[in-house]
Amino acid sequence: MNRERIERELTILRDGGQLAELVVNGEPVVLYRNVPTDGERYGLPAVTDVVVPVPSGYAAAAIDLAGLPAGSPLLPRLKGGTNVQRVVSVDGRQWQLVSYHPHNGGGGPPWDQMKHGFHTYFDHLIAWLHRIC
Amino acid sequence: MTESKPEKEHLHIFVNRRRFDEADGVRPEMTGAQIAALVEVPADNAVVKLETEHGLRDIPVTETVHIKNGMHFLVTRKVVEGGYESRTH
Repeated sequence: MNRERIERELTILRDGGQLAELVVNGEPVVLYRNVPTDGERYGLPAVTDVVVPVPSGYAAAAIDLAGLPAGSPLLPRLKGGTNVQRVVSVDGRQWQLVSYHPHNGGGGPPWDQMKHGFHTYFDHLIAWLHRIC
Repeated sequence: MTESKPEKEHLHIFVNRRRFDEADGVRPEMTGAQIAALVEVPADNAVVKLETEHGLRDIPVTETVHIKNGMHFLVTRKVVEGGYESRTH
């Protein structure tokens, strides 16, 4: 894991007002806080926290998956949300990772480690959270 | 004694919480498509929203926006796919 690189990427988001942090006690993840969703119009949360695992071998390996707090009412309404993966424990909470692969058929461009990172992955999280079914 | 002049603030906006300025292509007037291009979303796949104090306002890709420093936009995609699912949404 390239910690310095990830911190640089998250600083870009923090400078724009987005809370995001690298959490390494346990499986390393990036925790994005208060990410906007399109849920309000459906009576669902307007914001949510999201975790994304740091892949082994990052940044050669593509970022993949996304997780919401276990039991989030958003999960069954999101693309890939019913295809559950593993559960991770982060920040004192349980998180359900689900099948969302923006760089591998999920609607985003192929992974390019020279320009993509946890700062650009935020684009895909917002897109995901704004396609509520 | 020299008087320091306030530095002119460079035109910049935020798209998906990332800062973009003139070197990235920010201009005083931009279409929704040009804003989406900053985060590499093609116009035909882009949904552009301006964050205001009253909530989000949709910006059609053909609409021209008069850019003010520090405006915040969200750009999402029309096409979002999940992995294999046992049911269709």
